[in-house]
Amino acid sequence: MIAADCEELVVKYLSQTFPNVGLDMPTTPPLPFYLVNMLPRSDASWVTEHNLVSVHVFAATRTAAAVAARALHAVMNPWVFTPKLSFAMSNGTTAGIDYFSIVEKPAWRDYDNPNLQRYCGRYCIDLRMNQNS
Amino acid sequence: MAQLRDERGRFISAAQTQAILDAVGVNALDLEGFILGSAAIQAAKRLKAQQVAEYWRSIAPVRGDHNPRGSQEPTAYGTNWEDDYRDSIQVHEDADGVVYVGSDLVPLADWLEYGSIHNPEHGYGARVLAHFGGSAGHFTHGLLIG
Repeated sequence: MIAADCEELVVKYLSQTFPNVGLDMPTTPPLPFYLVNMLPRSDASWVTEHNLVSVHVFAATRTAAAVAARALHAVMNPWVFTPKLSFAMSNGTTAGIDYFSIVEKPAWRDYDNPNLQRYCGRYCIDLRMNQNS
Repeated sequence: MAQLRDERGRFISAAQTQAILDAVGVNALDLEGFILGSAAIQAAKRLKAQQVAEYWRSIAPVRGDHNPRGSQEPTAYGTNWEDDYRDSIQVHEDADGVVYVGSDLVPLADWLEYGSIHNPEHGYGARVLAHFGGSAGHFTHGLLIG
């Protein structure tokens, strides 16, 4: 690995605040559920790896989803999710973020499932290349 | 135009304002140049929008391999041709000059962008935004050019 795993880093960060965070969507998810997904866009230079990460918030009702999305927005913004933070990754290394920006603030998106309401936020997360990672 | 004030703070007339502008070299020719410049800017926005649309179409899926029923019958959502989504990505221009690129093939475009219970999230619009250097901004399935 050259840079830290961005999905793992986001899951680890969100798990500090929310109990139900994951990379896999359970058949019957505990609600509210936070699904992390790195989009298939990841370009890198010798210095920085740019990642585009979505966080989907699921709840049973639109109101509950909105409340959960507001809680997400409170922790996924540049004032709190900053390079000051560091994370112990599963491979034994310590990783921090280089740059963070909100691409899309969490907003309601149709999931085509009457039992689940969804909000989706998108974030650009840059990680520093580190051959020790 | 904001109403200017004289040295004593009193508002001055439009004619006096025009005279001041003429004195500092802002005259009819400059205004004409500004208008021509705006047209050039608009053309540049259209050109950029075409480039964005072409790239978006280049990464857009054509159903092809994902058509287990082999059917192209219309669905409740409209036509069902294999290249519906790719062809729906178009450049749009509002009457006030706003240019944007996107697909209005709803809900398919939304499902491809954000995923649904049926399919994973692909984020084609987000990838286009990233490819052209866009960062923070608001878009659904259309990208604002300017």
